[in-house]
Amino acid sequence: MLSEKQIQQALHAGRVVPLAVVKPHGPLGLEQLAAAVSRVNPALGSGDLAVRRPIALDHTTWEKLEQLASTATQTTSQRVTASQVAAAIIEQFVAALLQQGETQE
Amino acid sequence: MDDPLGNPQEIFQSHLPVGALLLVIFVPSRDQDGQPIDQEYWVDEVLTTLGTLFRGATAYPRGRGVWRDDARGGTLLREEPIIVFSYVAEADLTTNALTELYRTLSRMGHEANQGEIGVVIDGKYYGITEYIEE
Repeated sequence: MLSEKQIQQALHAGRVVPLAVVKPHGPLGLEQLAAAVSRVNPALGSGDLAVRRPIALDHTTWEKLEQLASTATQTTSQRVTASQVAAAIIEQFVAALLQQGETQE
Repeated sequence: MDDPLGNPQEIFQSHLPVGALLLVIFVPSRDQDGQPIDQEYWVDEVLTTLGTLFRGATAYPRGRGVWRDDARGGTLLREEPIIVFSYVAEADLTTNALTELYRTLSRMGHEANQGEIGVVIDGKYYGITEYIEE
């Protein structure tokens, strides 16, 4: 059996993302797989309607995000990227700000 | 008492290799700009390639979908990808076979103007963005 690296090289794949659905069987399994893939590649499905915008960060912040992502990857056994950590922090911070605003009114 | 599990290959007297690895390819319906592509042609190309390399493949049409492309002003693009899958014997999943598969997928990515071609092998998504021009 070829390793993940060998498969990636043979397919010239730029990225490899482990999916939560490991052994999908039958039509429902394939739908489940398609939903998981659409979260990885929104162009291949309808599951992810997130807004994507490039934002500028300084190197130190990015390095810290990468460290957090690495720790999350180890603890959750799922690959977590620095971008995902950044998105989670921003979403939580903005949600908290909105809640604060509502309680002050 | 008989072994309850047995060997299905022996029981059915099958001499063909057993495919156990699920390989899935998503054939898109539109290009990066939302223009329809000749999906039927590409499904046929992928089926032919998988059939030749791994002895068989099935195309599974899915329900309709929609996605918003924020790189293009948040336009809603309707996407109806077709899933083509094959159960591959481990022995058949060779570098040569994957290189041959890459040729077809690279051609689809280039000619059908795709941002990324997605392949799932044994629970892992491989995103292909590097296409060769033939």
